[in-house]
Amino acid sequence: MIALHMGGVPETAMVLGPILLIVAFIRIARRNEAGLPDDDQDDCDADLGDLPTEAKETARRP
Amino acid sequence: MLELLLPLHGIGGRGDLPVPLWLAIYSAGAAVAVSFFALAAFWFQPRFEVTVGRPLAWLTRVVDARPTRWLLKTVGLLALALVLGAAWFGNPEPALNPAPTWLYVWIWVGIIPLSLICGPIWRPANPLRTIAGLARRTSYRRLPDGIAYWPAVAGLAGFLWLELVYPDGSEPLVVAIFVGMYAIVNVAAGIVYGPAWFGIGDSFEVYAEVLGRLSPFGRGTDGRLELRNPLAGLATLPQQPGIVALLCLLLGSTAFDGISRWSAWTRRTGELSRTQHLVVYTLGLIAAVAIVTGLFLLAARTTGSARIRSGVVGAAGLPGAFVHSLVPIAIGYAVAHYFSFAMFQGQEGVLLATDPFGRGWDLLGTNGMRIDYAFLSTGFIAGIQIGAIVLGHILGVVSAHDRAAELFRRRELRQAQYPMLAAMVAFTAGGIALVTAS
Repeated sequence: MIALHMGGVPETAMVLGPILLIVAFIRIARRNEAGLPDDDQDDCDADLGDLPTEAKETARRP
Repeated sequence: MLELLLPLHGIGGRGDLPVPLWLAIYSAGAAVAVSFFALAAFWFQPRFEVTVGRPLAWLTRVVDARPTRWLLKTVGLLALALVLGAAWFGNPEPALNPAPTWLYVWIWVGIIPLSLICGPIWRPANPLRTIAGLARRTSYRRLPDGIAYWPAVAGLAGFLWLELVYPDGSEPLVVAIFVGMYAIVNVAAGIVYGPAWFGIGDSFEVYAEVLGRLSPFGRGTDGRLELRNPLAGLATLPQQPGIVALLCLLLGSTAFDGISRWSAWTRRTGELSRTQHLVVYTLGLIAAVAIVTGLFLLAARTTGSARIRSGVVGAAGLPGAFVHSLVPIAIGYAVAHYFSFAMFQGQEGVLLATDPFGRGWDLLGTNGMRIDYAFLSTGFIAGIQIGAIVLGHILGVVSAHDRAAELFRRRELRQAQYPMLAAMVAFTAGGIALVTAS
């Protein structure tokens, strides 16, 4: 442990650990975002009730 | 008393940290950033906007029962009478009079755990409400439009100025005058405008209500007490400009309190005359509040570059939409800042209570006892300080992200929050530097 501390290993892990975690989370977030519909169609979460007017009209057409 | 309190306040210093200061600041900022990106990866739907608590019918019956109401009112009135009585008629020496400790430690600091644990308890116990209610009127004047919470901001600014700037703020006579004037103004306004005044004008009640939003106990829309997710309660905070000002004032004043203890500050201001002290400290307080406010407004408004769902933002715009995320941060700062102060100086409130009016009494049998400084180690205090700040900011990030999930489209959700993330990391790093650096 003393050798590890003298080599600065815990400090290096404390510095690099969060950076690696952030990189991993960003990759996951990007992968999720890549599968999303276009902006105009996005969000369209029925619970929030803000479907774009155009989309609603399109949906009503036979 | 201020002279006595200063060395105790923020007693955990740089030497008490288990890691170097730069690493503590980096790790705390990183914890906030990692939390944010984890949320960005896995949290896309607002969860706190629609959460309903579990009704607590039995607790509502107990709390709303007439004997409980009278008990709370009596406790509130007794507390006010004791503070005023001790301040007016007690020992004129700040170190021998309990009133300053009761005001600055028991009430001002104690309001935080009280509201977090018990929820909306200040309102039924508020003695100023009780006194104003004695003047029965058939109708009240209507509160002016747009006044909501601004009188509370003004009152809080006055209190914080007294605590942090005015050199004699701990003199019992000064405490007596402040509490007396505060009570007279609020009772008079309560008689004119009715009980609605206290919800927007009484600084202590507004502060307690804001803190109480983070309590697991709260009142639902039907007025019944309920057990709820504290973050869901927090999301119900009113989106009003006055609330934004109130929280920025709290954060900025805590920052100034930390700065004014730095050796670099005290070296330069130690030799000032009284007038110079007042001017420099007042300007310092204003500058700290302005910087915090500017940073928060900039971060909140910059998120507006993304498209926002219609009908979600309230009267205070985007700063109002995100202001609830400042509440856990303010609590984290307050715990970090006042923890050691409350633990040690709070004991003085008990010891001095044995003779509240300076008559040589020993009501509690504590005469001759002294504050026990040994029951908490400085390392433990430093851990509490850093833990409170980091936890406060993580809860702030979670609250802000949840609101953002309601405001922004999913594709823009992550990037729209970068300005707010930057502000949160800056607040975290700054907060830790303020409470630990010397």
